Parts: sequence; C-alpha cells; structure tokens
Amino acid sequence: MKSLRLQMMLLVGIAIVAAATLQFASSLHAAIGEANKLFDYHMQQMALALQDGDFEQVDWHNLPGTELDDFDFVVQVWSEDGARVYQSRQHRSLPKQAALGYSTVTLENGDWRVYAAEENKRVIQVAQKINARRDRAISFALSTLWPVIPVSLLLFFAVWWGINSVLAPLNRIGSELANRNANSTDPVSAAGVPREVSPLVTELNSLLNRMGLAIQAQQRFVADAAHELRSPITALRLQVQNLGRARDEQSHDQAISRLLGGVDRASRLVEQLLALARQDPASQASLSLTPVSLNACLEQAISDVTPYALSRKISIHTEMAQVAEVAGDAESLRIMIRNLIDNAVRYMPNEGQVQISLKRQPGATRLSIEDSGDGIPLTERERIFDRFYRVAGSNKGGSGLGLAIAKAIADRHHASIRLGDAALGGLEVSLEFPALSGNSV
Amino acid sequence: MKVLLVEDDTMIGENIQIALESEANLVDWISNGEAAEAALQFHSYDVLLLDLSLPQRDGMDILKALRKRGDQLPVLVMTARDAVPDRVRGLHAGADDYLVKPFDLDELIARMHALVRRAHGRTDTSYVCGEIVVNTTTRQVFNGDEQVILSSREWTILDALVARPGAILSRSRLEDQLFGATSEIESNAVEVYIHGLRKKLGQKFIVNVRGVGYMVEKTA
Repeated sequence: MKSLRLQMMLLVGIAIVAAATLQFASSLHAAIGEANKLFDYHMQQMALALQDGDFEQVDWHNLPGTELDDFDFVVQVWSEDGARVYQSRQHRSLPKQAALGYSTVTLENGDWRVYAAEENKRVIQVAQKINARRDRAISFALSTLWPVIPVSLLLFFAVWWGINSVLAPLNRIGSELANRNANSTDPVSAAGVPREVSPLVTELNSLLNRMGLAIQAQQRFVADAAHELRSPITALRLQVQNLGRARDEQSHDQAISRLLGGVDRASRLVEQLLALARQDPASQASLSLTPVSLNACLEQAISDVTPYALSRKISIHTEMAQVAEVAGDAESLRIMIRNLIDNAVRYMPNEGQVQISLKRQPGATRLSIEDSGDGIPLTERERIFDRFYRVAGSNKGGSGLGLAIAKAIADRHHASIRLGDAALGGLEVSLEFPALSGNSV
Repeated sequence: MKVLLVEDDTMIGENIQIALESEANLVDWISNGEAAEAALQFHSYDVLLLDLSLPQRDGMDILKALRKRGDQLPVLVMTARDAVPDRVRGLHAGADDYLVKPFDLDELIARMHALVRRAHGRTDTSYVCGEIVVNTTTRQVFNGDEQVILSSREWTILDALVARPGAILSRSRLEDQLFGATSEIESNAVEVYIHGLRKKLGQKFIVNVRGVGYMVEKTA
C-alpha cells in the first residue's frame, strides 16, 4: 500500500532538488558572465600595463622557464616587423591575432580568449584559456550552492514534521482501531480530524453503527432461538422423567398424556420451522404466482382458526365486499392469513372480538385484521416479526415463528404488512397486495 | 421444604411442580415476574427456582431486588440462555447456582437440596441425633438399624426441623410448610404429625418449647 507520508516526502524532495538545481544553473550562468567580464577586464588592464615596458629581450626564448602550467595568462609581444619580442611562457605559443581587441580562438590545445592591443608599433597580446575561466566560474557557482544544502535539509525536516503533525489524527484513528476489542463497534472519535478526512470517519462510524445493530440483532436472534428451541426439549425431558417417577396408574396415565402434549408442542415447532424454511427466498427459485382468490384463502384460514376461537369464546367478524384476486400461492397465503388471525385470537383475553375486512382499493387489495386484545407496545412492534421473538408475558404456546412466517410470505408476494391501533382497542394488522396487472378496479 | 418456582413455560413449570411435590416439598408455582415479586415479599421460602425470561418483570430484576433487600434466600437460576456473559451476569446478580435448559430433573433436585443445606450452614446430608439418622437427600430415616417409614406430611415436618437443628419453628411456620399460604389450614394438623413422628422416633426427639414452637436438638 502507498504511504501518504512517503509519497509526500518524495514529491517535496523532488521539488527541493529541482529548486536547488535551478538555483545552481542560474548562479552558474551568472557566474560565467561575471567571470568573463572580470577576466576580460584583467586582460585589458594587463595589456595596458605592459604598454610602456621594455621588451628588447632578444634571448627571451633562452630564458629558463618553469614548466608549471598553473599560470592562467599568456602574454606575447610582437615588434613592428612581426618578430616576437616577448613571450611569458616558452611552451605556450599562440598565433598572433589579426584583430585587435577581444576575440576567441580555437587551437589544438583548447579554446582561448585573447585580447590584443597595439601601442608604439608593438602588439601586446594577452590570452587566457576558456577552460580556466569556466573552472573559476563553476567553483564560484558551487560556492553559492553550498548554503542551499543545509537549507534544503532544514526544509526537508520541517516538511517531515509538518506532514507528521497533519497526519497525526489519522495515525490516532489507525491505532485506535488496531487496539480496540475485536467486538467493539464504538464510534471512532472525530476530534482533531481534518475536514478532508472527516467524511471518512463519519462513514466509518456509520458503518460501525450498522454493524453493531446487525450484531445485536443476531445476538437477540440466537438468544430468542435458544429459548424457544430449548424450552420444548426441557419440557419433554421433565415429562419423561416424571413418567419414570410415576408410582401409581393414575399418575402414570397423566404423565403419558402430558408427555404427548410435549411431543405435540415440539412437532408444532418443527412444522413452523419447516414452514419458515419453505418461505426462505433461497429455498425456492421462484414462487409460481398465479391469480388466487384472496376470499377463498381467507375463508379457509378462518375455518382453520374457528375451533380454537370458539373454545375461547372469541367471535370473528368478516367483511368481504368484493371478490379480490391477487397474484400468489394459495397455500402460502392461507398459512399467512391463518397465522395472523391465530395470533390475534391467541393473545387476547377470552370473549374478545376479531374484525376482518377485505377491500379493493385503487391499485391495491387491502386485508385488515383487528382485534380487541391488549395491543402491542410501540417499542415491541418492530421486533414482533423477528424469528422466535415473543412479546414478554405472552406465553400462550406459540413458537414465536407465526408472524415471522407471515412476514416472509408477505414479502414473497410483494405485499406490505403494517401494524396499527385497531378501532376495537387492540392491534390492527393490515396487508396490502399490489393489484393484479391488467385487473381493472 | 417450601419452594417458590418461577417459570413462565406451562409445561416446564407443571412438571417441576409435580416432581417436587412428589418428594413432599411444598411448591408455589408462579408464572409471571410481578406475582413472583409479591410472593417473595409476603411469604418465606427455603429456596427459589427462577427462570430468567419472564413476562412483566425480568428474572434478573427479581433477583437483584431480592438481594438488594438483603434477602439471603438460596436462588437457583434456570435458563435457556447459556452464553457465558449471561451466566456471569446471573451469578453476579446474586444467583447461587445456574442450570441451563434442558436439565435433568434429578440434578435440579440435588442442586436445590445442596443450596438449601449450604444456606443452613450444613454440608453433610445427614442429621444424626443419638440413634436417629435422617438423610435429607435419600429421605431415609433410621432408628438404630431399623428404617422408619414416614408419611409424606411427617417427612415435610421432619425435613423442616432437621434443616435447622436448634432453631425453634413456630406452629404457623410448620403449617406454612405443610399447606402453603393458599391452602386451608387444618386446625391441629401440626400436632397430629408431631405426635406421629414422636411415636416413630421417640418422645424426646422433637422438643416442644411451650408457646413458641418445635425444634430438634443441635448436635455436634
């Protein structure tokens, strides 16, 4: 992964080096110009200074001369007749230049800068190697470059420090995340985070929040499932053990009938689990949705629940004005409606009422089931469709799956399911099916 | 022994009650939190069997309230929620023991007895006084080498007495053990069973402290 810090340091480093190079180039250029001017002036001054000198030194070429090469300037003097009367360096001989003044010549031993002046019929020529000039200019330029190096280093460290302090909040978030408990979904603190990064922190926190909710829902589900699955098994185990303890025939028979009740309960739970599994969208590639009479499904569902409702003296009123057809699976719809009515009947006091109405509305078919029970507190409403969830205090032999099954069936039929307050005082569950396509209202 | 059973599952509650009553315990079975709270405040019990997921009032709340009142009643929590944090929370809230459903009936009863013994400062399961040996676990009573057969009600009285040797139990306390708070009280039932017990175990085994109640001697 790319390090932001290294990347920034690299870019800043390149910029510093480029700036230093530019600085060197421009000072080199300036130094060469200055050096040329200065040396030219020197050559001129030297030539002028030699004008009045006596150069009648015919044996100049026999003079013992040093072989040293570190003299920059070469001075030559010619007499009127063209004979060379003086040469400062024996072994350095330059041709006499035709033009007076400044000129640059190229010889086999390099480029030379030459200044020639004529005085008293003598020609004085002063020459200097261009290389020597350039070397001076470069060392000049380099001497201006040296201060750039500590300044650059200083700049580099200042930038390093600056980047670190700007990135500190990111490092803090990083270490905070790295050191936290694996299960923690607490939000990351946004304090001191730069504006450019704060959307990232906000998104991270909202992700953590959603994850936390999902984990909570999963934990609730596991806890609810543990309770609902273990209770029937616990009952069975106790019933079997009590059967083993029965001493006389009467208690033996009672124990057997209780045990059968426990087995029935466990098998109801299994049936409900299977019904729920069948509604799992993953278990069936597609539900064959054919036009189904909702009226027929409703009638069947009511007749399923009626015996239990009668035993509790609960009356079921139905209002079916029109024939309503929806696209769906008849058996699933019957189970869904039965579960909803059963839920209403089961969790209300004896001698209550259930009011069912089926209506066709523009674009939708609406089925509502109202009861005269105690209703469900608002805080619990969002959970009652959860698998295995049961409203506290409602131990009426349900499995906690009936409404989850109803919800799954509704979802598969693209029907919305809503909870409200019933005119009868209890809960109103309303189902809204999309109208059959091509079905006029 | 008088047991308060708080369990909202009808089948589970019913079966625990049947099993405990068959062992001559008196069981008050309550299926919601608020009624359990009331029962705990107005009656005295030897042990509380508590389910945690209860309607109206959570089992954990009941437990906390009980301990906050300074009540030392032995509490055995029975729950289907077995996650370790749940158990730890239960024990921190003041539970003495913890059983995860589904559990074995015999284990429940054994643990319940162990809790009661411990609460009374006893760790042995037998009460010995002279020739008489009372085993509260097997519910066997010996007079010398001979096993004594007691009626269920006689055992209830004896069990209550040997649970706290040296402590005087009033007649009404013993009646409570016999019939519970709800049942009708037979006027001289306690005297009748005490008389029966004395006949089987010797006149001096149960001491009558006149005007206060009955006790068995504290030994060792």
